[in-house]
Amino acid sequence: MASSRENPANIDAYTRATFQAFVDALIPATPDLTATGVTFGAESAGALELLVHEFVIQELNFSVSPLAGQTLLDTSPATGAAQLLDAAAVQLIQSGEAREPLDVYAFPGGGSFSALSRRDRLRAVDKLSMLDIDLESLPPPYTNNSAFVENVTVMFNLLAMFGFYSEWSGYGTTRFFSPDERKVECFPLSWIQTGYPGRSLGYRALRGYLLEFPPKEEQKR
Amino acid sequence: MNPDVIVIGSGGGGAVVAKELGERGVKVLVLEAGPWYGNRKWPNPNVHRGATYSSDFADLDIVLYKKALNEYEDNMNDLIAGRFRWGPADRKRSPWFRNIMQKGTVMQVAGVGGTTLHYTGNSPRAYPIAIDHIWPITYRELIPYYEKVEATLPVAFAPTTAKEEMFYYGAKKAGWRLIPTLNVTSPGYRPNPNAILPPNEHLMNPHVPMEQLSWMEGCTLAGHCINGCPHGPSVDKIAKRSTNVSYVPLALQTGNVTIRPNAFATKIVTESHPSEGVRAIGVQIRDTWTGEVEELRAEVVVMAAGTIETPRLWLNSELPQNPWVGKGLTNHYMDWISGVFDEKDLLAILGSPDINPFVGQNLAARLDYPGLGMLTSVGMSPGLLSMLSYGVSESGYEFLHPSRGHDPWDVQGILSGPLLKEIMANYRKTLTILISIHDDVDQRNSVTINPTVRDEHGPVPVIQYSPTARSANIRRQMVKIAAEILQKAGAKTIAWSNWPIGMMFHIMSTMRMGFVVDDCCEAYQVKRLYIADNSVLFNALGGPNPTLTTQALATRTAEKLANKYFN
Repeated sequence: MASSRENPANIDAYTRATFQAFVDALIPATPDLTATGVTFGAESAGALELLVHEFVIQELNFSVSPLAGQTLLDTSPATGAAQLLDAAAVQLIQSGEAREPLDVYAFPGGGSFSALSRRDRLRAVDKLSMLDIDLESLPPPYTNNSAFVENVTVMFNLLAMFGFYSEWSGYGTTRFFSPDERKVECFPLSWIQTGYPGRSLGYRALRGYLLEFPPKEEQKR
Repeated sequence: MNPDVIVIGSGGGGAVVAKELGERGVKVLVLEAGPWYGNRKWPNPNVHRGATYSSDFADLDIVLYKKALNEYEDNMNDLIAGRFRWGPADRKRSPWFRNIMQKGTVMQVAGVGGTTLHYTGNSPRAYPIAIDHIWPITYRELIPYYEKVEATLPVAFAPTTAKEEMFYYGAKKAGWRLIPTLNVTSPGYRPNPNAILPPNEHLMNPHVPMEQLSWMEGCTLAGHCINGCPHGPSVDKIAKRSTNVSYVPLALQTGNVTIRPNAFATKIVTESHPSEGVRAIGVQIRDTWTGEVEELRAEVVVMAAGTIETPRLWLNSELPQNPWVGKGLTNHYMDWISGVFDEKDLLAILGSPDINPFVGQNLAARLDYPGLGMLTSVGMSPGLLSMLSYGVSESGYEFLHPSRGHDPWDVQGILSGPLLKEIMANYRKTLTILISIHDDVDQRNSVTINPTVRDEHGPVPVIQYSPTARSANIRRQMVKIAAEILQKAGAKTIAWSNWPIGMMFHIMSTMRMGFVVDDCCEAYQVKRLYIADNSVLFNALGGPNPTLTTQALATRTAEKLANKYFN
């Protein structure tokens, strides 16, 4: 069980590179994208630029979970999950399902998973999610444990999206402080992308009422 | 103190029992596993242990409450380290572990107010056809209790903002009619009956500053229901009526109720009595800050720890075996679907270019369909909305498992890459619908324990759910109805989430009335032990949100309990 959140400086290069590769595949920078009402320019940032990999690692390490495999393992839960992604990547490559060339320099310090193209990385995650994988060859605590594999795979996507689209990136230099010591230092770029104005005291947006309470039918009763 | 009754849990059910018993002069101690926000005896509830008890209404502190509920979604809703999580008050510690045997997540909260801290206040009654001739009691018998809870919270029909107007527009175009009722016997749309105070009469007056309005009585349409509503002049008059701001203040005002946060119940203490047989005499607790274990005694014990912890507590207490303890879990086998609209269509329908899903009560318009379930419009902050809409699916990634072309939606599954960025760039033009179905009770769906996987409170719960073939079929029908509403409203892109089966927001019926407890909600096998949470519901109510029915039953249970043991 993690006793507190860790400093990003303590994340090892392998775990960092693996989750950089994951969040970059799910929520990439989109310099070319324009959408109705929103111009992506300086605001094209993806999850990598917002350091969302640090959020995913932090959360995985902080959750007591099937991920932890309890305390018997030498590795942290996030490193164990990174090894799981690598095992899936190896199976993807060996089965000939990787569609695009590898790039071992994309995320220095990473393993097979981080050498895959963006779409192939998600193909590897999908193999885990669909349990289209040789469970026996997975590293502990995932070996032959489909529930653990399904659980952690769900967490990857949920955490990356929540980390990116919530205020988390706005915590800036305080992001790894204990929750009660963090301060929102800047308006998240992702909120600019979505047009979310941030938290609010209220809106003068009342358009009326469709029904009175209690409805007339009940008043007559 | 020597309470007459110990209530375990201060959420949707427990707080109601405490208030009702307190008003009858019964001395109540409420045990709550999580922290207490907005009480001056716990000025930093996530950092310091603070006091042990509070029983004084004057301890409630609106300034502390507003400071804690700061409307930031990661700070509030993060399931792992947020203020609203299933875990100890000390956020430097990990959450409590649940062993979920499938894809999914359990949305429950520890803290005074329980899961109503993050609930969206939806308070519909059950469908009569899901109760009559099925439950051990009738719908008619529930009505006075419904009315009492509706008046106490209070409940009102949700006001209309843009997202509700779009929902009604689509529902009407799809051929549904308005049903102006609380007792739903035929399909149709209506505003959600919500436990949220109606907007203040000055909300639309530009001369009254919003800062001032947020300190006045009434909903400000700020859209932070799920993040935790901090708007109101005092703790007991906060707009969204979680039990910590409704029933708990009323309970404290009776002068007979004491609440102890940071106290995790680990065992029901029983004895064998010559005439009553096995009966409850107390509760063993563990202080979540100090680890100190204590045994507390009372005449009667009420379990209201929630649909997962109540059966876990029964099993860990080694109470008599019963084949229905922890069995029959229902969760409304939920799903989720979103529609993205073009500006010109929105201008034509709404007179504005955006829906703005972050404005207004989060879940405020609904379509009821007795026999199938319900739909409700959804809008919330972008972190929660993105992950629930596009981040979790049984289908996998959209680009690998695309829609088949003849489906009533354009994309399905988990979105990624430029498509995700683009659809989220249209967040302000998005209307989302939650699908909550009439799912069957099936004894295989369960909360059990595995003695070898333990935490500091004993063996942890193992949760398993799989829909019946009928439930799966109903969900498909309801998804199509939701897609049609979006399509008729003019959505240009419809995205079906296809949630995995383990998405647990409405967890019910693991300690069912008629199987584990009698029709007064007293355990058949353990006298003086009552249950007053979603676990006693006989079934999933036909699809409607469960809180109001649990609160109505809790009101009734308190009355029965008081009449039997404290008359």
